[in-house]
Amino acid sequence: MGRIIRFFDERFDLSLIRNWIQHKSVPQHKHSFWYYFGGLALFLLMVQIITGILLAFYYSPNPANANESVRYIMGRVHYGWLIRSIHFWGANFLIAVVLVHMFSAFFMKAYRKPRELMWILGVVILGLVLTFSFTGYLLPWTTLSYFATKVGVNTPMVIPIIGDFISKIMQGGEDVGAATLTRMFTLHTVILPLITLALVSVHVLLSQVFGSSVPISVKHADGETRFFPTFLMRDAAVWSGTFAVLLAFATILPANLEGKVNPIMPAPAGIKPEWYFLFIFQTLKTIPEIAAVGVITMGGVVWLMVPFLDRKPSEGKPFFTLFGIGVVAYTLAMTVIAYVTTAQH
Amino acid sequence: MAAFLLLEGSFGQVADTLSTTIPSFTDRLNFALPLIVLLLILMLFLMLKSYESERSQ
Repeated sequence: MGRIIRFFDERFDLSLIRNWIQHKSVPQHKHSFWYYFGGLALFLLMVQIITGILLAFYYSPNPANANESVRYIMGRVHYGWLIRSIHFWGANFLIAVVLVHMFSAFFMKAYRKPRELMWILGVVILGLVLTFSFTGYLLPWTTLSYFATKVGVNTPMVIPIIGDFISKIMQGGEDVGAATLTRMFTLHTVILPLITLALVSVHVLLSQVFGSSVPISVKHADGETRFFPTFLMRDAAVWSGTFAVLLAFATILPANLEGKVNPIMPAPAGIKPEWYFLFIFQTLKTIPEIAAVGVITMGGVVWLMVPFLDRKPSEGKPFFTLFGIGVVAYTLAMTVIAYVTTAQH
Repeated sequence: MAAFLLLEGSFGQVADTLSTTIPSFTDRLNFALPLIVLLLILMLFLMLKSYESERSQ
């Protein structure tokens, strides 16, 4: 090992990396626990990429074969049921962890100068993760995924002037069909991974440049922990435990596969999106669609611009903390209402 | 044969012969449980090593 390192050191001068490894540290305080979620999100993204590549070996993105190829993966491919189930539950875990990471960064005001760009990238990455979920949902080509996607791609139609155009671009035509399936597959397996990996790389790079943010409420950190090897080992312990839980979910509750799309059948009763889209679904149901799309879009823009709106964050000014609590309360309330009302159907 | 038909684009022809039958709950558990236990042991080991490393700093 020493000879290999020496080989590279003689040619590329590894002193910069060595210096970085020796000095990288993580602040220790009562909120340090939240630092683990960034690394955990990165780990789950890797799990999704690896299981996604394995699934792509067998998946066939055309309406004639899509459902059958997933059936083949589940029933015939060695451990295909496990890989697909890990991919399914991994997506849920990833979204949950990214949400926790984002809200913890918000409440610790980690978006404040000089980390504004990190915040913006983080919010965009959350959007990309949700888009991954939306595009992946259609791929098994089941009746439920077909009608749920139909609702999703028709929603932009309420936007004046450009709505119809956006909807057609998403569908690849007048209706959800073969073109939609290939578009969703291409987005899910090529375009989104490339954009996500690029943005995540910059996000991680910036976190190395600026280091971990210490919350304003922490006057004096309890010291620092060296990242190599102490914090990295704790990170790896969290990854190991999370993967054990993920494996348990995939084993006890494997991913379901319903029957193939039958577009002439009526939409299933009580159709509802995944848990992370329920608050949007309920907002669209509660107020006129055009107003709901406006509110959600504006909400997203305000959330993205928080570092520039909260110019002088300090402990004594709780406005943005209250705003964050409001966002969490609204999201949770709408999710619960949507869950309860659709469960009654 | 099924894999060949998948490549041929006529996978639907064998769809009836396929099922989503996955291993039984017991078989799945027999496979996953040792892995889960190993991962949990690895987690504990890494935590212990990290505390050891912290104390030695």
